[in-house]
Amino acid sequence: VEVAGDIGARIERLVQEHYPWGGDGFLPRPAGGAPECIAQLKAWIRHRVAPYGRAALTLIALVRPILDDLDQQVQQVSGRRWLARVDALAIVKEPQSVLEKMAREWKDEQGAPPIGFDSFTRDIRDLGRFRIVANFLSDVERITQALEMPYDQRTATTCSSTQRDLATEFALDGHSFEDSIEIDPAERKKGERCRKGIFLPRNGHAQLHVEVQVQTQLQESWDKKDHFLLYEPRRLGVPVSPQHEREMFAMSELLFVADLTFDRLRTAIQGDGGDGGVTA
Amino acid sequence: MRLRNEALRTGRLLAWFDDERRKNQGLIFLVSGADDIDRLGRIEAACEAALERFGRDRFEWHDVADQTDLSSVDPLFDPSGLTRVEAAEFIDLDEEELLTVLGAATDRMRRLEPQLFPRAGGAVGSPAQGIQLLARDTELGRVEDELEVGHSVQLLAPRRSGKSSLMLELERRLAPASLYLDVERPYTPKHLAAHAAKLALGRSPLAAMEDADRRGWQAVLDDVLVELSRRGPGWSVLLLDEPQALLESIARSPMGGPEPALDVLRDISACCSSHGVRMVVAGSVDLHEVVRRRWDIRRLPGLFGELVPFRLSPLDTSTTELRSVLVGSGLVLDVGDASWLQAHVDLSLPYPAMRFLDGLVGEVRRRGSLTHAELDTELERFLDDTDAFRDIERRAIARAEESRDVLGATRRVLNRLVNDDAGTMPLTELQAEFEALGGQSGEHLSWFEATFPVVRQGSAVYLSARMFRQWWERQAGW
Repeated sequence: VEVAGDIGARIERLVQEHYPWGGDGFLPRPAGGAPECIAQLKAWIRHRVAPYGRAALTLIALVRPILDDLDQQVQQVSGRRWLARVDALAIVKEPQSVLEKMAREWKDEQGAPPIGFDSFTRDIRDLGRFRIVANFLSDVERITQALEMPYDQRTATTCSSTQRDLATEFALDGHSFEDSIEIDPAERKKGERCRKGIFLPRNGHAQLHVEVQVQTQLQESWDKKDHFLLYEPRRLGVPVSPQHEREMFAMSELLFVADLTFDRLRTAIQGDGGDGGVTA
Repeated sequence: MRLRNEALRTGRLLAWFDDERRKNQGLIFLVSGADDIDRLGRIEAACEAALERFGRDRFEWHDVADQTDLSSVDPLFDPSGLTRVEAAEFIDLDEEELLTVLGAATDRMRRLEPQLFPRAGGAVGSPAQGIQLLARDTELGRVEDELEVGHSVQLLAPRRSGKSSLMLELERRLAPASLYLDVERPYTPKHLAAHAAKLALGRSPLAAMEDADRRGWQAVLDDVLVELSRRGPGWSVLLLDEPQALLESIARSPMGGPEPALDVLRDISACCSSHGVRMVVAGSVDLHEVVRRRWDIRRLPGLFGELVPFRLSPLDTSTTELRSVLVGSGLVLDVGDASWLQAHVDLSLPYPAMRFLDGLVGEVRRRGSLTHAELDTELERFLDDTDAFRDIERRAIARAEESRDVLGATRRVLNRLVNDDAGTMPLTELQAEFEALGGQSGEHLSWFEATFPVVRQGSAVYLSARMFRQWWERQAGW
């Protein structure tokens, strides 16, 4: 708790010393002490972050029909089964998380913070975000391919109208999703596994980037447990036991093996006619 | 113009829950693409301003990825209390208009009203009630203020402009110490008292009639007003709709004449006064003028002589009420549709406007969407076929049978108003048209103003209803 107080103290210093109080587009310094400043600042951050949530919501509206198309294709091949759901419960980053991220990145407290109040909306890439949680590991790949397809010149012409709508309204940063699932063991630094893409509206709001993660239920399950057990204490500055870190990392590997096995079983049971043959 | 796409899956939900989270209301703004980012921002700002103004207790925002799975947003949310709109429906409204349209909706959410927006088919042909009573809050408040200080009020407005609806809303607001009586049918005082006894005391009309025969209609009405004054902790009110019809009915009866008619008014007034009951009378013609012209009587008896005149303005013809009706009816405007509506449709005469919009809903549902050319065609067809103006036409024909000259003056004035770009003419010239008829010129003018949607404003008179104007043009001025 004492160490947790450190991140609190760091946020307080960050706010008092580096928020441009009274500047153009910024809040005037409120009467009262640090709690009043932080309370008002959180409302200001919430206001600044809200458009990212709206961008994420409109992106969901474009992604949903693509998932519906895939769902239909899968059902035609392998009968009724669940494909994926969109998790929009935390569509914007909370102001407290924004402040903590800024404070964590501020390693040299003598210097200016690398993420400033004038640039945090640009520097923090997941202010607007949502997850697509899929059933099988191959579903993650199938969904990712379907979302990447309209951005690839080789496949763009064979896209469905829903995919074309997506590409008309949003750009995909780098034309592809990052892959933290298929990483060589020597390069893997953390247990998080997902495909991650950054989408940018094309209608003059390119600054409103939205992070989309595609992962399996087991990967999401690992993430939610890691978030609660290790990530939260870590972000508050509480020391985390290396043994716990190792075990948590191993659990990610274990669940990856489970995902691989489930996919192999599905193929074995359904044979070549299984929905593994479905393409976006 | 097209129908709302309620099948869109994703949107931003404004939800209201009661204290125990057992009852809820929700308004979801459905989105379809990146253009909705700004639209949602404006909508949220307007809703937030409304909540700031009216109180944000128990309101909450939710992001909804799939409106068919609202339980993932909140397992206690009951989707039957959900109103679906598209964020795109509000694009051309400015901030103040958005606040007006959405502020009223949030207020209704808080009151758990089942309908958040008025709809075109909601009150076609019958008095508008509740949400369907458009844009009369200010006037209702002013009438209530007059009653509060002990005055009785006379509401004046042309036919079909919503007087009865307003009277019924007053009755609802002032319940249980209020009673609305529609006197437009050919009543005798005995019928009136028996009808009142049926409504207020639950008596059978036949028994009440027999009672009136025995004790006199005044005694039966007295019973009613005693009951009315007992109901409220403060004052109570009797609402009489079109009482001039009662006077004319008495005047036409074999024993009729000014004295019996005035006696009836005197007795009604005495009953009200003795129990502290206030009155609101409504009519298209000023009661004072009716007795002055018919019998040359200068003063009405009792409370009728003290009625505070209250002239109902034409219904708000700004875009917000019309837009609320469109939202309630599920009609979504395409580019340029707002200008088309502004040019052709208004709510000054709510009945024809709501009839037309109700027809449009059916047509859009049938065809999927309507272009401007198709909207023009629909309007022309409506104006040619509608009976929505039949009441006006019937009154004009009846008057024409009495005097061809009145019809001629009416035609000249209406043609002039219709052909004027702003739809106005000097009041003095209007008066001169009818004065030229000689004789009962004042009565003819009064009839004209009560029959047609014309409004005096300073030294001018103007045509308040665009739909009537177009209808008149289509009729080629009779």
